[in-house]
Amino acid sequence: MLKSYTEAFCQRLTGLKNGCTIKDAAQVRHILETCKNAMAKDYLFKFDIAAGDTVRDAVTTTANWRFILCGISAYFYDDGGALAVGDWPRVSVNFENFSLSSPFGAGARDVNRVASNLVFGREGLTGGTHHLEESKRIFLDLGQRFTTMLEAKGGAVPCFGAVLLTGVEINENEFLNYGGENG
Amino acid sequence: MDARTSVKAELMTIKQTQAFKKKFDFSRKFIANAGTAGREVIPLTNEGPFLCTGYNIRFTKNSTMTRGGVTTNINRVGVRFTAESDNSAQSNDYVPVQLISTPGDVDGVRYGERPWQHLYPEGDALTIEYDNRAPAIPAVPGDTYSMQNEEIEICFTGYIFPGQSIK
Repeated sequence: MLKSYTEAFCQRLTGLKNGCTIKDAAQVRHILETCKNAMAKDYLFKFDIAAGDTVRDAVTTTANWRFILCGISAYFYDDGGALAVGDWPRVSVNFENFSLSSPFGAGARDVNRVASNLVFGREGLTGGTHHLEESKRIFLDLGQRFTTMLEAKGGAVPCFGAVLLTGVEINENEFLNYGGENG
Repeated sequence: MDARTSVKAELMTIKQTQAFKKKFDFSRKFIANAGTAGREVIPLTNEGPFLCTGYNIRFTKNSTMTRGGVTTNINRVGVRFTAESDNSAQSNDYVPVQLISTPGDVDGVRYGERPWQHLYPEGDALTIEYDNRAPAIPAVPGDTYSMQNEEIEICFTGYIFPGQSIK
């Protein structure tokens, strides 16, 4: 269902697949050395927005490691499901110090633009107060610091929730070895 | 190759493969006491490094939130994983289990693990920090919370690489 992007990415890094046969110790060393320098990481942003308000939050990712954004998931609660379809929060992700290899360039990006099929849908709970979705396609960006900007569009009620940015952090030296911006 | 030879070859492959890498699960069930934060520590094996490739979480929803006279069962537990060896958190905050649990709901349909890669040295310990406290400020004015003990069960799945060392 919610196919992970870290899985796909890490598999590409390591050649590690469920059930694959390792033939010798050298392959094991390759996997271990690679995995030492590529770890999954979550960055969570909690928000509490008044009607029509905008909130900002920022996080600094780990020093000397490059964060590769692989997926976004989010949920929010409104006041008893009072927000109408289309009035649900929009989430923008703004990368500072983004990598030159970023395909998105500078500036704030609306998630619905970066990942056009990320839609905050209602997920089956009666009352419609629980919303959870995850981007369905891989998109990558590199950053040492990023900011999310959360916007409440329309609606007359406050809402709160969380956005989870899931990705992989790669040791700076390994990043360059993989053909990073200076590699 | 007859069937017996084929099976023998297959078994030999498995044996040789498991000399380098074998599947392993580390599971822990605990109670996140109402209104408290705490930690659980899972000692890992000395046999070799453990490459976690994913985890699966199930949880109860005993706590309640009342809003506008309507009471809803919720689970507000957040978790944060660290490796004891480097004490480096794998998330910047407590991540709500409802956001990362694979069943998605109590006794809900399971669709497999949440892929998650982290390499732990042999003899390391996997630490689960959890928080089951009500928000200091209600998300919506007037909300009231009744926090209850929640049962959390997490299964970390991955591979052990016997005889190897990454320390």
